[in-house]
Amino acid sequence: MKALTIAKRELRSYFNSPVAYIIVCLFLLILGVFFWQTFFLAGRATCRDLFRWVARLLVVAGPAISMRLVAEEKRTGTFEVLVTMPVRDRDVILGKYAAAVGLLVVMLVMTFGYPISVAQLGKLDWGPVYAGYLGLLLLGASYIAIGIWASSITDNQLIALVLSLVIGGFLYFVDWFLPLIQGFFPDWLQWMVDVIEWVSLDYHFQSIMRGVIDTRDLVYFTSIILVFLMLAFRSIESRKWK
Amino acid sequence: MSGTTQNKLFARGESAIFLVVVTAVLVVLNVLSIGIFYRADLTERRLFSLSDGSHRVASRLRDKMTIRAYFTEDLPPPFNATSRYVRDLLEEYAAASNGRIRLEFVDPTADPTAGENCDTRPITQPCASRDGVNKVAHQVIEREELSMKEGYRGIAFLYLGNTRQIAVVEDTAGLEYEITTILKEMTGERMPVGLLTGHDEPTTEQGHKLLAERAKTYSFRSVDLSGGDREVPREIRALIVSGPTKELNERELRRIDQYLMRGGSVGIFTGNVNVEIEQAPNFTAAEATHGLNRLLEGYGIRINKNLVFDRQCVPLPARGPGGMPVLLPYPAWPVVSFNEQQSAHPVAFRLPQVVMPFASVLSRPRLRASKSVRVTDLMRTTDESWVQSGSYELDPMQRWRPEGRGGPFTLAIAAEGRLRSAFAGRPAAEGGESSESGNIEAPATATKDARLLVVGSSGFADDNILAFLSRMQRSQTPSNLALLLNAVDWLAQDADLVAVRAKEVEDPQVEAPRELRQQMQQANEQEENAQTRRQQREAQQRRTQAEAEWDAKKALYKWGNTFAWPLLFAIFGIVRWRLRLAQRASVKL
Repeated sequence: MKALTIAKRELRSYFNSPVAYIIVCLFLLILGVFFWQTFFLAGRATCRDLFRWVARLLVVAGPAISMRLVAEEKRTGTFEVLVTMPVRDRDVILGKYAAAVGLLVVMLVMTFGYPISVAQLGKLDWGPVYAGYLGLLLLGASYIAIGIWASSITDNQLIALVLSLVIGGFLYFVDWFLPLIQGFFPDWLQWMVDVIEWVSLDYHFQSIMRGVIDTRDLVYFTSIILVFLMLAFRSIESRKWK
Repeated sequence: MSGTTQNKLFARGESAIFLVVVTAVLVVLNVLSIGIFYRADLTERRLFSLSDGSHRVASRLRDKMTIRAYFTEDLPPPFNATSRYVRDLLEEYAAASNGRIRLEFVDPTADPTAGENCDTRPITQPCASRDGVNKVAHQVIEREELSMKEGYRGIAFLYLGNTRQIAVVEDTAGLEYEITTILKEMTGERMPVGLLTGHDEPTTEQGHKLLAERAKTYSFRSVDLSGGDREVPREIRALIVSGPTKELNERELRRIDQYLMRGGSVGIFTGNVNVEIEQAPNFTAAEATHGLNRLLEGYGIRINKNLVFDRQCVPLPARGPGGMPVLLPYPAWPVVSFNEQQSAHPVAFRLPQVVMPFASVLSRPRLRASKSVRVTDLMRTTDESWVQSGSYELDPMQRWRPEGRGGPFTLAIAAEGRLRSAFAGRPAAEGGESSESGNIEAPATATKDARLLVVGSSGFADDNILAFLSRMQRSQTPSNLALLLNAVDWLAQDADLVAVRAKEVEDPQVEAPRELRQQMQQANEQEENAQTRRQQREAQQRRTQAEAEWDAKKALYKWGNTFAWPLLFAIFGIVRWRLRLAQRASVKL
């Protein structure tokens, strides 16, 4: 329950500052230009490009949402106040994480107009749309988990942003370079290529985006989220032995 | 060491151990999930569910296979949708292969070193020309101008040092079938299928060369029954009796029956009138003497002694007045379409229509569908068909006059299940062969599910006719050939291939709203029927108006969606900010 209280407070603070509005408006504007510029040229009633662009924009938007979560409080000193309150570290992390995911949900809801428009223009298959949104939620939630960890190890928002951008970007784009990477590995190390492909967020997102919900992808996304949340938890817990 | 330091160290260690254990558990979970998983295909037409057959073939791979898809990124529609589908489909194969299939998506336009002149590259690196994938030209309309754009859309398969390819992916329908067939070929699974010989039937050298070439997952072997002294080899998956011109004696017929009653599959492709096609267009007809009705009537099927004609037919090229080349409709080559029930049968699956040259009508006076036998009339001519019997007028230049009873007539029948032996309860004494035929024993009813397919034309599968149809339909696989291959798959009970379904996989087109489409169409019709220039101008104006309306609608969707949503959210923010300011101002200390 305490996590929920923290989540509410955080979410409110998002909407009380201009940050949320700037992020969401910029996100929607860029998405609109990218998606609708080519939509009528391709002439296909499908939302795949929507999901592709949102996924790429989330590489930046995810860290932007999460960069201030812990770092800002550390910088202003309010973090010390928060942890001396009768709340557990776990509640702090989960509450802040839930708030950021809440903002992500608002962002995604703001794009619902797109599939509704596309459905007016042709016979849209809604299955991949539902799956696509689930994929975006998991992808965004993964970036935010990475972001909250990055935010927890520094008191500088910019460092948190860059760190989560690098890690999130690497995990997303790594499978684009597989054909290049492959040449570097000798035959007996070719299994590494499979491992690299497996850790790619894009690989798993593409799979869901097509309209196929696969337990392997769900397990992967859940693992990424849990690992980074645990790292973040350990990071704020570390003050106990420093 | 003080107690506090020890506590700190303990806390640190505990936290680290917890992190390592949970991470390890998650890694193990991920590894386990590769083998044990569940997937749900949410697409309306189950596009990404590989059919069971393809799934089985992919999961049976014993070694690593690399599949390279060479696709240029922004091909013009509809090929942009093709590349997406190919990517998705291949990913399904990879998912089913337990990690044996590795996929590589290469865009040789972006990376020219992987396109041409790269044959010296190591095999682990992509090279389209070496892998047999060719560049093709696509028409593009840009700013109302037609231009050509070159690009790649091919797939190469590399397995145990061998390379196979689909040089150009022409169509997404049937692609899964093609890929699964290649996988089966590369893994060397070939099933034996028998072609009956000894009665002047076509062979894999002549007449059924295309069949042997295209049905690569089968090894065709000639089956000579030596007048009935030899039985049909038990290991063959199907026996095909195609266009025999000499008579089969009773012992041979009994051998075929025996094979069928043991749970075999028999395909009989022949009419009851032989037509010489060598001297086309001077076709000559003579009644057939193969005597297969003696066998088929035992199952309740008869090939009638006639030829069927249909107004829905193929046009044949001929010389018109003054030697001008013309196309003349030729009712002796009916075009048969399939209804929903027929299309659901594996033999007719994926086929829009087929051509049945010089076919005889089939009837089944004593074969009824029952619990133990499923019967399908696979092909029916149209209502506007008729038959000729006795004497046959086949000259393509004649004026055709429908005669006799009208259609529809049945041209193919498939029966599957516990068929009764054609010779059950019949004395063996026939034509002085009694003592020998008595030695041929067959169960009275099929011991396992047997499959019998009778098609009333042998010409439909003939090389010459297939080549002609291939030219006419501008397709490497005219639907007649597809029918033949499907028939072999169904008879050989190759579940892998039969289960592979054709899928209409392109994303649906964006369309103008119905009333605008109607307006445009009406304007077009008006323009065509216009009597005066004024009427023509009016029609053009109406069309331009409708087009402008559609353009305006598109612009509304485009810019409305681009700007309205961020604007809406910004307004929400401003309202909230103003409200908070007002609230703060009203707070009095």
